[in-house]
Amino acid sequence: MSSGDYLRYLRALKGGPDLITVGQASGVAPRVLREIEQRYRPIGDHEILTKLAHYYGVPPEELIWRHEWSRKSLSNALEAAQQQNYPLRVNLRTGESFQGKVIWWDLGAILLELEDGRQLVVQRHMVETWEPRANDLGVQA
Amino acid sequence: MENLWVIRRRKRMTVSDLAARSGVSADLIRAYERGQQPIPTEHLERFAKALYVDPWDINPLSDAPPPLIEKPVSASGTNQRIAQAASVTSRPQPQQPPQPLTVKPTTSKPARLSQIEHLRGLLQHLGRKEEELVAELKKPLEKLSQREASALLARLQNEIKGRGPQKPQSKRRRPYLPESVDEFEMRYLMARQQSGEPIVFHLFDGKEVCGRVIGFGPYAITVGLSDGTEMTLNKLAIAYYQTLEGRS
Repeated sequence: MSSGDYLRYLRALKGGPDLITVGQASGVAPRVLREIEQRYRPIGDHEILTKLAHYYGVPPEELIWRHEWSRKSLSNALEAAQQQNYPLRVNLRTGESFQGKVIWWDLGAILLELEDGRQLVVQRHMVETWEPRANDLGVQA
Repeated sequence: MENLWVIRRRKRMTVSDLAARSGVSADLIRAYERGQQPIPTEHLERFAKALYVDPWDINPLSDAPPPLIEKPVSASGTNQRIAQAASVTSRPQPQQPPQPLTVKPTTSKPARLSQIEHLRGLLQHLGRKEEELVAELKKPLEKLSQREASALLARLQNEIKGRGPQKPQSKRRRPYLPESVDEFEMRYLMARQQSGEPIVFHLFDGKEVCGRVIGFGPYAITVGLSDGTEMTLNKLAIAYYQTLEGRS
């Protein structure tokens, strides 16, 4: 789960305040908040993520490490795995982990064909980490 | 509202970093930071975007940053910082004259040959004679300074832009990327809806829901359960799903 998805999740847990309210309380411009939540590439720096972590009452590290696992980098890994026909392992927020061939992927979901032949549609927002990452494969996706 | 250099340093960015991220030249950024010229709105917006702040957080006319203090020979890092702070705060500073709003006049270098050739090319493009321009400028092109030539080039380019046909207002085209569409999942669900095969949905809290797809949209899937009732599942609550057949 990217930092953007995680922030949306935290906002939902807090009762779904709007971005203006979050911006006023956290000291981060609502425009930046919107970009962090919606964009695919990582947005924001440590200062901003730390402010948001304090606002949501989570350790800053929880947001900072997710910054490296953006939606864009998942797209790159999916593209690379599909192109090279390489099995991808996705580790979900539920604690489950699945490894399989990427049949298709899009905005919201990934179809994985597992080694036993089962096909799973995994929701992208549930994916915390994955392996290998696109750069591990030496692919500029 | 803070000075540009204060925000930039707090974000641990160099002038080059900011230049790369904002698309504004490093020289111009330095001029803005020294307060030699006010930051125009367009650049304020670019800086705001690059620094993750709002445009109104940046002072459009920066106060010049404190001068860098020479490194003391024997002072440790901490002592050096204290020494710097002391020198900045307690040492009586001579009254600085107010900074001018325009770029400081610099020693004017003669125009580059390429600039003069470019000027001639633009004149030709506009169908104007060099003599006309020389008469207007009251000096030959070779006697222009780099700055004058640059301003003149910008003026002629604007003239050309004004004469040319207006570009059609077309929508920006984006490359097709799977990450910008949800058609694969939609197709998958449509096939399952048509076949009527049951699907097992695994939710974020470990629960499972099994049923046939009745309808779906970008954010939710409606499922017909075995007892005849319907349930709408928010996609955010779903971790993954699979056909019942595939599961067994």
